[in-house]
Amino acid sequence: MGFVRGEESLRTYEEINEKVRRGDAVVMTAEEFASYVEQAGLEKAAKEVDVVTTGTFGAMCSSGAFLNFGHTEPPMKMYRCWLNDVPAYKGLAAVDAYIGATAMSETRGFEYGGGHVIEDLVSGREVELRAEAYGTDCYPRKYLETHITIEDLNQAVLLNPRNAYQRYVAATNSTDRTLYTYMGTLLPHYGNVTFSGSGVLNPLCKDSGFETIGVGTRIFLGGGVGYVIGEGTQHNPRKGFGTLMVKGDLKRMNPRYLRGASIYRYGTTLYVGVGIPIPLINMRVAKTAALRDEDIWTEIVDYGVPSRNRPAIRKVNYKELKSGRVVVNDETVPCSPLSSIRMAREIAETLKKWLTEGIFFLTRPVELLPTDTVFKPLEVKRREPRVREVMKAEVVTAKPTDDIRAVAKLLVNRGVDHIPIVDDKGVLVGIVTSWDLAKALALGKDRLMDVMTRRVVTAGLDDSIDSVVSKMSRYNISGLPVVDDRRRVIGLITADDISRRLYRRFLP
Amino acid sequence: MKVKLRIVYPTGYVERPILAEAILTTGIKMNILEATLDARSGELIASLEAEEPEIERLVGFLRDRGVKVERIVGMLKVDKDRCIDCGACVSICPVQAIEISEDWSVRFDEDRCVGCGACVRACPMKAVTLV
Ligand code: SF4
Ligand code: SF4
Repeated sequence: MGFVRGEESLRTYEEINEKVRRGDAVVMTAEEFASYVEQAGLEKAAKEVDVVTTGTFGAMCSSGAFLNFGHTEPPMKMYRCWLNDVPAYKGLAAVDAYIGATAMSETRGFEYGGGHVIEDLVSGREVELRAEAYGTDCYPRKYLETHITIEDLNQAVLLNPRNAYQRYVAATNSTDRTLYTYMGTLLPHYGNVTFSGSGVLNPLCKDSGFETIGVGTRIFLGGGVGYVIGEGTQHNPRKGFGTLMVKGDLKRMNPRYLRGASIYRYGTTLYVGVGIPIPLINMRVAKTAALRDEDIWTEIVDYGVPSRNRPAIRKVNYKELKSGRVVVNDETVPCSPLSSIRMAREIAETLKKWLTEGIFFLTRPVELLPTDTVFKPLEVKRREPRVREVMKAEVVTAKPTDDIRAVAKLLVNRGVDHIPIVDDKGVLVGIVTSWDLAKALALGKDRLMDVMTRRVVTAGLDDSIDSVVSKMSRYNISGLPVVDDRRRVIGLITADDISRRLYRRFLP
Repeated sequence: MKVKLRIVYPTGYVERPILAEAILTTGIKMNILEATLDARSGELIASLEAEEPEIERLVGFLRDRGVKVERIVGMLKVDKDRCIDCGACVSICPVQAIEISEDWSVRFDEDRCVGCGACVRACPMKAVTLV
């Protein structure tokens, strides 16, 4: 399929913006466009309509704002700071901070968090600022308590690392107790289903090929103007779970579209309104923009299973989810959204209005988003020592032809119990222990090759100590030569080495 | 007018047909919204529509027979400025008192509400209170 992603074969950004300027751009919300395509056909609709507007309004935990407070007299290098008792991140310059949506008040807990601080700021309300510092020659002040409003701030920038999920799973609960999750209250025994996202209006569903939404795309953000600044964290376009990173000037936003929230027994977050214009630059974009609720699928997942890999119960489309009743295991159960579809619709309408009134112009992305990234899990690795950290690298070795008496002497002098036997190239051919030598001397043997063990149990540099210990007990031995991939001896590991190592770990 | 009553039967009263007698005597029709009964005592929440004197008569009738009656007034309060019509409260209501309308706004049917409090907890905007 030789196509260029983002090609402007139906219309260019300049052509659309020219029409916006003249006030005759044809703009439809995604809902309107989907039904218009059903009625008029894709070909005709794509020819007539310039832009399709989308919207979503839901909990977006990966949200927050960069704030610059300005300098006090005397100045202060804030080391820790709180806004209405909610801690803000202070690992930045003296008076820069980042307030995250899920940070919770140290006095009010689940009831009030970073999302509420952002809503209060945008509403123009006073917010208490408290800060601590260790004091330096250039920043002597150590403590501060004052009130600020958004007007007082030099900059207030909403910068959300992950917003506007392309789609999300729907949730249900197989257990016998009510669960309180970020997917809302889930009643026992599959008592209900909750879902997120606005389906037909969902921004990334409407450009699922990522042909128009990219770095620099101008969008509706929190009631003001914002920009896509890249792929969001956990962006997973291959699985249909794309995300966006967005930013915008908080000072020009509207509290109607930025709402602090507390999810019962889960925590605080921020509901963010995002609306994205989809210019119909080619037929592929028009086709995805025309997707209806029944064309957009997700899965109902059992949140009763406390695992990263929660089992999917069935596939479901947004039409069924939005109907209010969903069949789960042959039973019809009530189903309701968590994100506001009414507000999503209002956002798409507002964006349409901006475009038809000629006060909002489209931007061509300076870079398109990746379409091939995957979302990797985090494996919890138990830190366990490896052979290379415990073994002795200095090994006393001998040749098969060496005299037993000489080797016995070496063993006593160096205080070792195991001697790996190697050939001229250092390759392991056998092993002898002090016990083997004592026996050989008693029997009057002369050469090592007559008494050595030829089938040697060995270890590799990166083997775990657990595996070495289990070999020792399985073969009833107390030392293993460590060999490289050509069976050359590079070390020796003994039960003594391991117990010394364990001692270090467990004794104070 | 429409009212809701919480009717509490003390121990040993459950087997007596007091409610049926009350309905027969006063002629008021009641809608039982919620009932928690066991062998010895119980609690009912009923909604009814009648003129004030008739309601008084019903309440008096029940009280005379040793049943506790309480009027539930304006139990559910939704702050429409806080509410964003998300729907997080809808599917968890045990009596389907919360509905999503055609335009996706969320509507509460206060007459059906039995004051269980599930929606108060589920609301991320703290828009619902029980008073
Ligand atoms: S309190 Fe809320 S959930 Fe409970 S019955 Fe009333 S409306 Fe329904
Ligand atoms: S959960 Fe709260 S905000 Fe959402 S619809 Fe119900 S009352 Fe409104």
